[in-house]
Amino acid sequence: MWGKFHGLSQNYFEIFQLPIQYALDEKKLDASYRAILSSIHPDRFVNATEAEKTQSLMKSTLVNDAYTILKNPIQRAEYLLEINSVSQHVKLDNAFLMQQMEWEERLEAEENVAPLNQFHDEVLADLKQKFNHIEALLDQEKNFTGVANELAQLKFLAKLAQKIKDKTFLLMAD
Amino acid sequence: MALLQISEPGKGTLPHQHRNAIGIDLGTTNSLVATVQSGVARILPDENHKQLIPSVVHYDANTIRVGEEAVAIHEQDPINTIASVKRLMGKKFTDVDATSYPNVLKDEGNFVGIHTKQGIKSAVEVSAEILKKLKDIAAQHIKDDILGAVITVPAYFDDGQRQATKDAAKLAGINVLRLINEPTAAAVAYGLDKEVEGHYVIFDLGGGTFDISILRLSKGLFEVIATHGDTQLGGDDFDAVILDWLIGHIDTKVDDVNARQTLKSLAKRIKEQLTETETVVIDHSLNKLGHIKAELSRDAFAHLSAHLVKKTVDATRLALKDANLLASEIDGVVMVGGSTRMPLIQTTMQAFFNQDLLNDINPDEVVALGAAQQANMLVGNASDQHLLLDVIPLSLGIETMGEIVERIIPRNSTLPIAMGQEFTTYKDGQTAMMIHVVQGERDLVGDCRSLAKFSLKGIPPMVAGAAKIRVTFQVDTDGLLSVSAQELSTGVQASIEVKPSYGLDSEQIKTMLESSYQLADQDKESRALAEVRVEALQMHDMVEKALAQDKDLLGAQEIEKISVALERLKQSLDHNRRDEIQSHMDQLNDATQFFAQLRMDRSIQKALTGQEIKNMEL
Repeated sequence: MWGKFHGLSQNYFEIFQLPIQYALDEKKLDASYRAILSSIHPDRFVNATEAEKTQSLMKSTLVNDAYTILKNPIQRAEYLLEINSVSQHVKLDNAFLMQQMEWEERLEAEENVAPLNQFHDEVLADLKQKFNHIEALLDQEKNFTGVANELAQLKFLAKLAQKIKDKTFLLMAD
Repeated sequence: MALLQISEPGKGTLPHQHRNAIGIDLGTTNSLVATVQSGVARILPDENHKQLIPSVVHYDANTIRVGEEAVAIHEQDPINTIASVKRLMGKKFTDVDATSYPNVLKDEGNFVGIHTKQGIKSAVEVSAEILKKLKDIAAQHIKDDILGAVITVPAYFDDGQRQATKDAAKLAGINVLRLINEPTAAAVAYGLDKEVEGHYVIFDLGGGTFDISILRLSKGLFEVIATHGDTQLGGDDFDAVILDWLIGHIDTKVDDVNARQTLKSLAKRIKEQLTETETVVIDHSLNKLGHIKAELSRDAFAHLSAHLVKKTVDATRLALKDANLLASEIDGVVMVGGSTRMPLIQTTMQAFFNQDLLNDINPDEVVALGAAQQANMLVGNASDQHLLLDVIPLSLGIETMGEIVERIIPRNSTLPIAMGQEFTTYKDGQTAMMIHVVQGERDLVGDCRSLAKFSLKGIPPMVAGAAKIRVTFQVDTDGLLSVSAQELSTGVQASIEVKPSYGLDSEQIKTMLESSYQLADQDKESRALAEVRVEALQMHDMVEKALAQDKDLLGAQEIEKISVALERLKQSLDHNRRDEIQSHMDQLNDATQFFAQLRMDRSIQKALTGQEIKNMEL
């Protein structure tokens, strides 16, 4: 597994002065990210000492990494599991595996844009539901092991949505 | 109203002191240098008032000619004249079509050797000559010190090509403030970095290359989401179309080089005239070739060059496809490169995107102007301190079993970025291992570009699998990679030996740097001493200022440590010995590392507080 680049005891939420929870104030994240980078980005230190240049590079790197992870709803959930020391490795249940195969077959069979769009909408609706469920599990119920399972399914759905979109785009380009 | 006065870190407290910086467009065909004066970016012309400096270098036994002078001698001495050297940057002999160059090219292992009257030259050295010329031009206009330059590179340039560009600047004695992508520079010149968000196409048709880039902009973040193009398509091909047409109108056979050259120049003039008028009437006496009388209209020219225009449209389509965008989703189309002046190109693109083009800045100058604006901002002159964030254009990965690439840093990650990966030994007592870094989007090593092979040495001997070596891949704001490694169980810093697959290694650069100083040893030493003294004084002032500002962050012991290092550096200046001054600078640097970290944290806190206050005001 790829490890992340650490270097600070602060966790990623604390860097941006955000509460440690799944529900995200995106506006605040964006604003804090820009405010922080505006003050520490290497572009601000072209006339500085080597020590300051090094620190600026290291801190900016960390802030970029933290921002990317918090901004992404899947990675943010994974990060919350990580800081709560919960493993993400789960086995998908059989019912979901069957459902997966059905979806794959449906994607394979569709050759028209309209039904593909319909399919895409359905998957997006499922995704939205999963995200809401994950937020409830993480922020209200604090059921982290339940999250790992939902997250595995959600990742599959996200990939499926992308595959449907790719196919639709190819059909439209022809 | 501002409630808090937050001074920018790393900047002086003086109210306004203009610092000089330049922007350089190091092009395949032409290069330009620009600067911002009184808030306006402008191109700096050479002594003959020329703004476009041909990227051509000629080597004679004792002299090196650059630009127009080299062009003048090109026909006469093609073997010692190098044009389009940019195509050779960061390339290996096997990457290059040697037959397309009139020069004698040789395989020098990690670089292409160009044989000249002054010996074997690398693309880095030739580019350094062009950069020196641009630097000299800038020095004629700017009397004070020039702090540094922003140099532009194509968006698709990989790590090796970017490194080569930086090496060339080093050889030319230019301090590189930042490398930025050419399409990004063009977008800055049009002020698109101030737009809230949108998708922009940068259409760049130069003398010999065609690049199309699609940028996604959101509040100063520039993402290059697709690039396409043709490295062998440009204005020269349109000239060739007219040349063929001209030859068709001459009864005599054109087999003489000089006659062909005359016709070539005529073709270029006709093309340029067609930008101004609907029809060009040719009524010329061509000495031996007799008299030519013909007419070429825009429509006829469009017909003749339809296959070339089609190529640009096809590439544009492919770029849009890669970006997952429709032409109607594009918010603006920026025209770059002299060849976009052709009405044919303008109307084609206008129709394709169904909108007016951004073309009111001179297309030859737009990249250099954008680079100059960025340079001006970096040295702290611009009142508007917005931030421009660039992304890594190509994914970085490492080779794993079966020649499969494992991606470490995905393309379009905001820079700077770092990722760590843990490796382990597979044999008992293994003390070294090899890591192969590649760049590209494909899954097989052979389909990506090999960047470097790192050998990790000095791993403490242990049983197989027990050593854990953490390798950190850092990509800086210029898109350049550096690697560090540490054995985790013992904390031993493994040493890394970098062997770039392409381009020059640090030893070769050092040798070139040394040989480039043609001064007497004593002059060399006194110049180096003078440089280090200036640097030391600046550093001393900066640390003193930082201490005055943020002393409260430190304990008495820390303050004492820094003060002592400051005092020692000052004393060493009196002794006038370069290595002594350098060593005290290094010591001061070490002593301030922790202080710099604390100051950085304070900046973050201040930035966030400022943010809250702004929100309260709203």
